[in-house]
Amino acid sequence: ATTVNLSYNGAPDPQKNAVHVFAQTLKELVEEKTQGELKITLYPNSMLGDEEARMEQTMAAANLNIASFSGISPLAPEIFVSAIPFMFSGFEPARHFFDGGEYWKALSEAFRERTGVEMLAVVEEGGFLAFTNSKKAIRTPDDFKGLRFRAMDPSQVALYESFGATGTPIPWTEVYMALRTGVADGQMNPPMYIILGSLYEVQKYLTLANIQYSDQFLVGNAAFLDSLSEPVRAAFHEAVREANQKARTENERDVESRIQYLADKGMEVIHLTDEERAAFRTKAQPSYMNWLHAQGIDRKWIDMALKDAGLEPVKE
Amino acid sequence: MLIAIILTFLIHVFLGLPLFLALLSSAVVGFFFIDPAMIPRMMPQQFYGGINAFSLMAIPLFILAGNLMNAAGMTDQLMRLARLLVGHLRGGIGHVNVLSSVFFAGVNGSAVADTSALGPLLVPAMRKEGYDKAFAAGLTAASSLVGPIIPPSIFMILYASLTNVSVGSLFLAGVIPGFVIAAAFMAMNGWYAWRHQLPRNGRAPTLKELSAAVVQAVPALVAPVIIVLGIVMGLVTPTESGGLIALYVVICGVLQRRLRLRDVWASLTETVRLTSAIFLIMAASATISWQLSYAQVPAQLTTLFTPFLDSPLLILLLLSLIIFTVGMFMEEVSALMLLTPILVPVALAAGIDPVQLGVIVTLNITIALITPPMGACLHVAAAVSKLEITALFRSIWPFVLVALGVLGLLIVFPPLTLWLPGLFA
Amino acid sequence: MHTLRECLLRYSRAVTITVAALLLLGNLAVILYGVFMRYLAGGAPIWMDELSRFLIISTVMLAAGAVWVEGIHMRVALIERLLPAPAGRLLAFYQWVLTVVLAFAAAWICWRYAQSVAMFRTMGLGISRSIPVMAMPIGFALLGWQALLYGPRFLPLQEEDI
Ligand code: NA
Ligand code: NA
Repeated sequence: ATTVNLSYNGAPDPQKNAVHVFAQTLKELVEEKTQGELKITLYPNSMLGDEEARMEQTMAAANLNIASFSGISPLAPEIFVSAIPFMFSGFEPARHFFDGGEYWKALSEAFRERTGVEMLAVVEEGGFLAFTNSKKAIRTPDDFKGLRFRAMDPSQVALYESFGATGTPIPWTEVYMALRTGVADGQMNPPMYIILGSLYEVQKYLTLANIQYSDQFLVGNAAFLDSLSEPVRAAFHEAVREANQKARTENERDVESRIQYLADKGMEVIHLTDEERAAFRTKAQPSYMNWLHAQGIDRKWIDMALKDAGLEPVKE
Repeated sequence: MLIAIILTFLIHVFLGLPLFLALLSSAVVGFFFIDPAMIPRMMPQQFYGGINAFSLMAIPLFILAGNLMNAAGMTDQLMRLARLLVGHLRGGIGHVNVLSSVFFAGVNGSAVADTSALGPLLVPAMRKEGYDKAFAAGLTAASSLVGPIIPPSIFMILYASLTNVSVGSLFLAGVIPGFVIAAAFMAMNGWYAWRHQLPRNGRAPTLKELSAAVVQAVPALVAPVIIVLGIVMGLVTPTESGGLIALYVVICGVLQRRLRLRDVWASLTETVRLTSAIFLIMAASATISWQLSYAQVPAQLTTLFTPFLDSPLLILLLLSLIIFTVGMFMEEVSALMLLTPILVPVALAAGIDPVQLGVIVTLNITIALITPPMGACLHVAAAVSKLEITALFRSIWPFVLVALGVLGLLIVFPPLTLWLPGLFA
Repeated sequence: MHTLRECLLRYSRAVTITVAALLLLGNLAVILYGVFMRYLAGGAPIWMDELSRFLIISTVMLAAGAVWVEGIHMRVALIERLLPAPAGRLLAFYQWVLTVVLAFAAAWICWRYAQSVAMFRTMGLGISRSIPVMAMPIGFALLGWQALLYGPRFLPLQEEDI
């Protein structure tokens, strides 16, 4: 029997960490379906290192890893295309985009070629990103004017600036304090993280704008996967599919109850209509595209992705 | 594997190798137990990763701020204020020693810096007032423990970077414990002064004298206020507050014409030296921490502790015992770097508040600075007071016991740590 | 010969400490710039925290050798004061050889590692990860070089060790 390590972010707590639910299910299914031929050791809490360290480990030796955006993007900045804001109306189109789209297939191939790491599954981690803030009920892009938002990476800064707001980098551990004291007025995250960080205590308005699909990526060392015997490899891939299916079902169910939880905690939940979301999209996408160009990302990736998402190419 | 790592480390420390090289040697040995083929990738990766965190950037800035304050004479101003406030009491100079440390702690994040800055001035002064040299050196070393407990604190920044706890909350949680420790040592000093019937000196200050001294010390007193308010109110991150304090001290020093360009440069190079020494230990420890994670030592330890998980009190006592024992024989930064990832998950599993735990671990590690035979503050205190180190080893135990008593209080009464952060959250 | 070695050593020390201090100063400037931009312009540049980390890591690594020569790295110099002279010389030789070997081996390994991470682009500055990582091979090489110059004798004692 072979044993392989699977490392990921976050605590091994099924209540709080959707990624852990996936990892745990995957471990059980793989061991069951391969009849113990392939065993998985779980390393939660980023125990084996930060995103870059773990990706290096996956490139170098037989490892599995669940990477977030910051694990993939240093090697394949094209992945930022999949985070074009307001691209998906809900879970179904997003899943279709990754499971059956041309863009994701091409990206996975390019990634494997560049790094020797195989893209195995897109794992949902807590729904869609939503805006929260303490100042006003945001329904239109204009509502953003003059607000100050916490940004995680340069693409988020570009997004906020397109609405006339500003973005400033604040580490996650300081976000609560920064929001409470007004260093930042708002931030964006999936409901899961808003609950984890108790941000509902310091944020009044929650705008469900489906900004971005919140996902992480199961990757594995390609040479190792190729070295598995045919039946074991087939069983492994089947286990990945099944585990992901299960995790997605649970995730979608949990998102509803999390939003309800936030409402119960006194947040004003704002649902947007399709027209309202379109207004955000028209405003945000051109500047996000400019940012993508500034990153030197080829136009073909953007066209492919927009086609997969069933959107018109955005004019610049 | 664990035993081989520890043995290699101890042997090389004993042979007088710098700690970071001793740690690197034992990391190499550790990899021979896991997989030597990992050395070329995992050693550099984890060494680099160990010091590649934004929150750690606060450490050099606070060291720099402390060096600049000394150079600008602000430390003297603080001591003068302390002398005026408590110098007239019986055993006044001992109280001055403790109170100066409290003032100094507000800008300074390290206990060793406190001992070496205040010790040379206060130990001779205490001798003159009839104190026993060993007690004077002991009080100097012990009172500097407030340095890493009252914010800012290098240990707390380290702990926060390893556990993802908010540095701001930790800093707040340290304020009350810091004053409790100071009060405990003042009480000890008072008792000593009364038993030896030390004379009283001078008289209580007049309001005029007091206000004059306060006015003079205002620039130095404002510094900790900037830090605490800035971090607590979330206006700046701890790292930024370190930078602002350094800037502030330079401006004050130049305006008061106490700071020359040459002093600023000397402070910078001193900071470089200390930063390099501390960070290399952190980097080298990170490679060993990774090996322990990889071998799943923390998880095994948690399993080992499972029978006690129902009793947080017992868990905390056990952890304190482990940290205290390890701290006696190991340098504090590496002890903190190695023990935190192993022990904290156990405590969290027992349902202990991460912030309370942070202060307990910090104080525990800080106490290691005054426990024989490896306590750095003891060595500095002995050096600056020209005292035989073994004499200090004997006289320090009452102080260690008092500090352990305060640690016990923090374990038994969570509000001592959690009340203040709760007030702001 | 002897004086040339001393001279080289003093020169390396002065240069590395000076450069390291300038990098630290640069780090201070970056952090202050970040604070002021956040309050004046509404947002700090996203590369600020990355640049600050790279500067400090470079400071640490560059100064490592000079700090070693000055005996400032934390260590326990207990046994070398108790040993008789011949055994002491042997111990000093062991300390020296181990330091030189570890330093040059680390420099080599880190150099190879720095090459291997070239394809990672950093988040904030968008540069190759090799660039900041190069601080490690350079620092270890400097440590090895200065240790080589210093020769097989005991490091100076700090007052804390007295
Ligand atoms: Na302090
Ligand atoms: Na003191």
